[in-house]
Amino acid sequence: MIISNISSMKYSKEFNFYGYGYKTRTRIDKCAQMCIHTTASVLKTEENVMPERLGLITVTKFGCTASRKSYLDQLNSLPDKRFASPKDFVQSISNIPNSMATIENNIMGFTNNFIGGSESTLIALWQVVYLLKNNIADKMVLTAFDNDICASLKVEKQTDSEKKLEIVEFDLQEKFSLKINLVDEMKFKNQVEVNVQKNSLAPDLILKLESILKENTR
Amino acid sequence: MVKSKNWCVTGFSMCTVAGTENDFDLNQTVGCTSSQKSDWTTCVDQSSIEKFYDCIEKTIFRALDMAKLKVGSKYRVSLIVASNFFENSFLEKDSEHSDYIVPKLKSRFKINGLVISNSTACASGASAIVTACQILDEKISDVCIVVGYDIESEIPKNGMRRLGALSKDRISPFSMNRTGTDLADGIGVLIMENFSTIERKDAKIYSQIVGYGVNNDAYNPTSPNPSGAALLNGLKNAIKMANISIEEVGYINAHGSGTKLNDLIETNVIKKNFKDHAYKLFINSSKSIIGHTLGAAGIVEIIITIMQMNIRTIHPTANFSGYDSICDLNYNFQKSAVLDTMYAISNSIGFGGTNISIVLKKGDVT
Repeated sequence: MIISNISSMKYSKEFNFYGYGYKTRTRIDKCAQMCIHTTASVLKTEENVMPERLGLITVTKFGCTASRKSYLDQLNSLPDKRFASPKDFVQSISNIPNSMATIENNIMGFTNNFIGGSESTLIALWQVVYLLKNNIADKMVLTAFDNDICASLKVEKQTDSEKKLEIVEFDLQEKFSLKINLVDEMKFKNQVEVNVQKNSLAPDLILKLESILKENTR
Repeated sequence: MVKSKNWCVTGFSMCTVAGTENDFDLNQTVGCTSSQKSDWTTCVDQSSIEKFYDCIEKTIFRALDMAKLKVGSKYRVSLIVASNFFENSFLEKDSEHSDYIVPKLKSRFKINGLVISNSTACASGASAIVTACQILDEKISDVCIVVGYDIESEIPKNGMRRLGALSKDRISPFSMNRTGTDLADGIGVLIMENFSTIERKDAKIYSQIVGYGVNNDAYNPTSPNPSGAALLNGLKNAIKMANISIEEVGYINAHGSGTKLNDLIETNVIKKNFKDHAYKLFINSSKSIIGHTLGAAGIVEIIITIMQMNIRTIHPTANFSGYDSICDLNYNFQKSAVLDTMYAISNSIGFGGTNISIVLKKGDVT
């Protein structure tokens, strides 16, 4: 059953939150910066979605490594651990980039955070489709971040406008693959199977989808 | 909206050590058998990751025994893991030990379905249960082993103290003089199956999950929205999915973390949602007895809720320290209560703003 289409995809690499003109008084981990930015990028043209019906699922294999390392270093080196930075503590928690992206983009619907690589991104994409299919959300953003790269895609119930990739089916058990329909302006459909490599970084699946899309719309 | 599908709990087990001083024995008040009591009060061993893994493995085996399931059976089994600070906690001691537990559990329990790790801070356990419901709903797996674990280490202890979330003396949820939460080690395991696919004649259904609601505060990474809008929406969505009236709910296992703001918001949300019926509800906080088990809390508290429903007894909220005129609902302070209810709700609220409510229906075990 074809019910969902990916309508927008963006990725960031080495994104500088502060250089972007964003004013904030507190330090934000690079992963969280990119998560906020790419999530905002796919929602840029969003129109009239109730915040309670807009959801965000994030996936990460390593989390905010810089904050985690900084906090652990402080715990191991400071004579009094109470002086370790609470900002580093908070941002060492793996779902905090998800939280910051929900705050900045006013996302108040279903949220979840998976730990794992590309295969977790595929499971997250399956959950996104489940939520839309079962009317738990109207639009969902899936954002995957790791190290210096972050990628987001927006999935919504099928409409006639702006069709890019239609999700056809998931094979989560045997092959870990995703079947999608590529749709061009002439409504010509061409089915592609995307196999997911285990142990790759979380954003890899989204980047692969984007490269397939670029190749086929060239 | 998903129609209630009756996702069944056919086995459960947990391993906690009382993280807080209190006057009550949890095992007595929730009706543990003597063997469960000796198993469940075995301290979580956090001296090494190998010993901690052994605790998790034993807890899963006990839950599988209860569900009359064997490792490597004909069923397609998925493993859904919930943890919050755990990986960081062992990194604190030994950086080689990241990503140790999940791959080991996968091979030990011959997982032939999905392996998923959820982490939504203190709501991780509830997130994992919701994910398991969805996997069962789509018939991706026949059985889901839902495991939550976390330990009280320097990372959460130090970090949460700096944020003012830890109690100055002891956790006293919903009391006037509450000052914060107490952390504790915890492991919780649920075995979940679809009602329609349980074939084993000797399997018992201890409870059914009939609804859930998940909403985000979008307010602050570590502070809940004072309006409680997300928790209220989650609660409404869970009851709507369960397709029951508010009057049918008799008991709420509150998040009840013992922080000033959290208990106040939860109370106000219950009043808003249940109106007059709020004053007839039985409410308690399991954290007042066992402490806050972080990523495992959602699962451990669901287990406690199931046990209480089955023995028709609601455990007390421990450590009462003064009447709060705003938190004026029936929190069951200081004594157990007898209650026969068909439906109960468990709330989970996590750092990052995730609010989850889960509706449970009493099983066929009494």
